[in-house]
Amino acid sequence: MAAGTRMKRVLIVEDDTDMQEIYRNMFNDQADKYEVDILGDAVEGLRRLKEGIFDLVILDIIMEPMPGDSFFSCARDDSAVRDIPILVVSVLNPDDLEHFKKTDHVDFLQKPITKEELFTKIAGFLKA
Amino acid sequence: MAHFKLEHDKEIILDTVSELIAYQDQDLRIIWANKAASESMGVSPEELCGRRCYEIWHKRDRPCAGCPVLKALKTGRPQKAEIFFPDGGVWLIRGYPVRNKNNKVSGVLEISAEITERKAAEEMLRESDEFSSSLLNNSPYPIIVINPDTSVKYVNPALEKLTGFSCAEIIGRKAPYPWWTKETERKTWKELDAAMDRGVERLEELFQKKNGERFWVEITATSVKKKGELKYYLANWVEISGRKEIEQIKSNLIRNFSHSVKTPIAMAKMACYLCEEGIKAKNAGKIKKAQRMMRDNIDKAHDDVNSILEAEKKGTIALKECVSFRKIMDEIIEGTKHIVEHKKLNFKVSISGDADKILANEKEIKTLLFNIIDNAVKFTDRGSIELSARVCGKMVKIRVKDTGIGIEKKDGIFDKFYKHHKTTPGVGLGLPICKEIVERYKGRIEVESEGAQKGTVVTISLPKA
Repeated sequence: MAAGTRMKRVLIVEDDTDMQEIYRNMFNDQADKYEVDILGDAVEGLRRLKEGIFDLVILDIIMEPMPGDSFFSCARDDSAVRDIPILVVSVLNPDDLEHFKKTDHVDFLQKPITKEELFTKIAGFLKA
Repeated sequence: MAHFKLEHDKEIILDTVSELIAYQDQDLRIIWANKAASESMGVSPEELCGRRCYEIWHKRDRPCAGCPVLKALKTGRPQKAEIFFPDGGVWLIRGYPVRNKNNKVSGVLEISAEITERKAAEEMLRESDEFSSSLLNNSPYPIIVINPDTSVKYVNPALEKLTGFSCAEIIGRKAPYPWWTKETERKTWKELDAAMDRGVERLEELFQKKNGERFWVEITATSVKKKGELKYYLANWVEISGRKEIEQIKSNLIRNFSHSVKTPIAMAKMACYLCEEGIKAKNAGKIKKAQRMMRDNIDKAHDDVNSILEAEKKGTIALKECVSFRKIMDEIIEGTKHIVEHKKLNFKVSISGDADKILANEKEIKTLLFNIIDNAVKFTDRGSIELSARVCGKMVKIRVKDTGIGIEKKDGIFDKFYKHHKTTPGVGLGLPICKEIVERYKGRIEVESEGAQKGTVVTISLPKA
């Protein structure tokens, strides 16, 4: 990494432990570019988001007790974190997530995803 | 000579008419009869003279009961009656009193006409009307007839029963009708004219009863025209609330099932990618991990499919279960704890013992309650949030009261993406989702607020277990 370039901090909110493992594996050889926090609970994820400084959130939707929609809504509600881009990665069809499309700084990937797809989206967010 | 010609002409005229005409004295003896009267008995007019009409035509020794000829004599006023004969014939008999120069009734003119065919036609029409009425009145399907000006002309008892509105409350009313919901009103108002002209077939609409309960109907309607002009609009309803509920349940089931199967399948596929990487990098650990993931997720998908097939076989797809309200509340309160503490809000919970169990799908109730509490927490910056639950008849009444920003105008709050102001937090889906869930359980949701900054009270009723 070039001197003076800060590592990008990514918050991943995903409750499936296998998916968490997949993410770890995907980010493993990108450890010089990305610092990753993985949380299995949206409530905890929200707290961490507001406490830390993140460049990107990768968010699952189907979670309990707080689903990804509510995390999204709360994040957008907070002026301190409102503009952090959110990449929704879910088994849901993006057509089922119409309500997100009305907001800025959001994009979608439908599972299953490849490493290439994930990092193309991430690059798109973080370059802009 | 002129007088003779006049009398002769009168006789010709009287003999030409088909009605039986007989002039009688006060004793009901025939003084004069026309040709039709005498021909009806097969005698000459002269042979009728001096005889009484009830002797000749009715073969009686006294006047018939209700005889209009006798009544005319007695009352001095014209009378008429329909007389039924033993041979099935029906006659209209009219008696006209005849006065002498001293204005005293000196006789009576009897005019009789056979109306057997007309009576038969009237009876057939009456029977036909009765038959049609009985079809409408006894139909188990609600039927409504509307005039061209949209006023209601007729509703049958089935429609009264379904809507809860009485005939008196409906007849004469013009659109919008009391069973229209706000959504129906917005949609149907515009289309009403065209619908009345063309008719509709199997149109599904959501209406509401007098008590506010919503129901679905399938409407088939036709316009009845005469000489190209609309006379009225006839509509038949079939209640399909049960079918809609099943469709919704099926849709939810398919959606939930597809999600629950798609997830492990997606994970298994991603595990394949992981395995490929492991093979490329000759990383045995990664390959083993990937294999385990593939196996576990394929098993999970397999189990999910088997469970749904088993449940379908046994007919026990448990869509609703006995859910502990208190347990769900504890989870939600835990989930919102950090925001409540951050805002220093006072959170009070009061659940009466018998209000703990509700009959519902656990996931849906979690979503419902989470959205309501989440809204209360989101829109309250200081003060308190009180949650209570108690039994009210067959329902559990849940009340969430906050001291938050309140609601100035309630119109449209259940509309998707509605936000009071563009800066209002959230995307505007919470309340519409809650309403959808509550209505699926035939419950109610009400939102009250005394205005801006005066807090909000949300009351939900759900079936008790």
